Amino acid sequence: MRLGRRRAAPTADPVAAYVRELEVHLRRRGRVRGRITGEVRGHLEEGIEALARERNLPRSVAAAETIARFGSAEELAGQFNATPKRRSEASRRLAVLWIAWLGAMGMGSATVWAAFDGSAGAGRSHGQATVARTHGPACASPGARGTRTHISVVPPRHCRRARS
Amino acid sequence: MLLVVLDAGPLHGYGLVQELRRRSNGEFDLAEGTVYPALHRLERAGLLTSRWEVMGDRRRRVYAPTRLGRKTAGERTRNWRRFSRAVDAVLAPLAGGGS
Repeated sequence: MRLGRRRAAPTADPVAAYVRELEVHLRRRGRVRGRITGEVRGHLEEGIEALARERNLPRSVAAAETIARFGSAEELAGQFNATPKRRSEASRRLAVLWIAWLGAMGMGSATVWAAFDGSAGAGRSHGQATVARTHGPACASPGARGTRTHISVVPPRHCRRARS
Repeated sequence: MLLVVLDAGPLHGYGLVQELRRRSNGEFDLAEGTVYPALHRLERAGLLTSRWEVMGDRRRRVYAPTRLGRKTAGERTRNWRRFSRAVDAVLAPLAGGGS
């Protein structure tokens, strides 16, 4: 016995039974599901009516033939299930909000990073000014060894040599 | 084929199957249910539009090709004719007596 698989409830009307069987196998919900079952029900009813009229058949015989011509409910459900789902309006909106949120977060991060980097740059200038005051402008140039960090108060070796 | 048949005028699934059977002189006697997943796929691809129509006490989903659907039908018909002519040309020597 397979668990989790619903069984179509027995019914006297062959069209209703077919639609129930289709619903059991159909992995579509909401409006799409209603549209599919509505179209199938309409097609079968129209086909049965036409066949019964054309060949003067009782409804039960015409129904059996029409349903056989229509194909298996399980196979039909499988074909619908294989069709990629259309993204709903709600999920489209959610995707737009998600992208907007990501964008806002990205911009916020960039702003904070730029502000942090700016203050660090100011600190470095202050450090270079301190080194220039103490050891001369040559030692405060960005390329000068020992000026990489503004918190270093130890003069670079070549500056010490120059001072002595 | 569905696009070409619908190009002649909007139809619901049942009418479309009947028209296919009529135009093919009964050769295309397909499982009728298979037409619906195909119609849904074509609509999803933007080649068809559909709407509910009430006929007496019955509701029908009626399909019609979009502009893109008409263009696609034209292109595919031309491609098919070219292919069909090529197959006919290959088979031409057999046309006489099947030898």
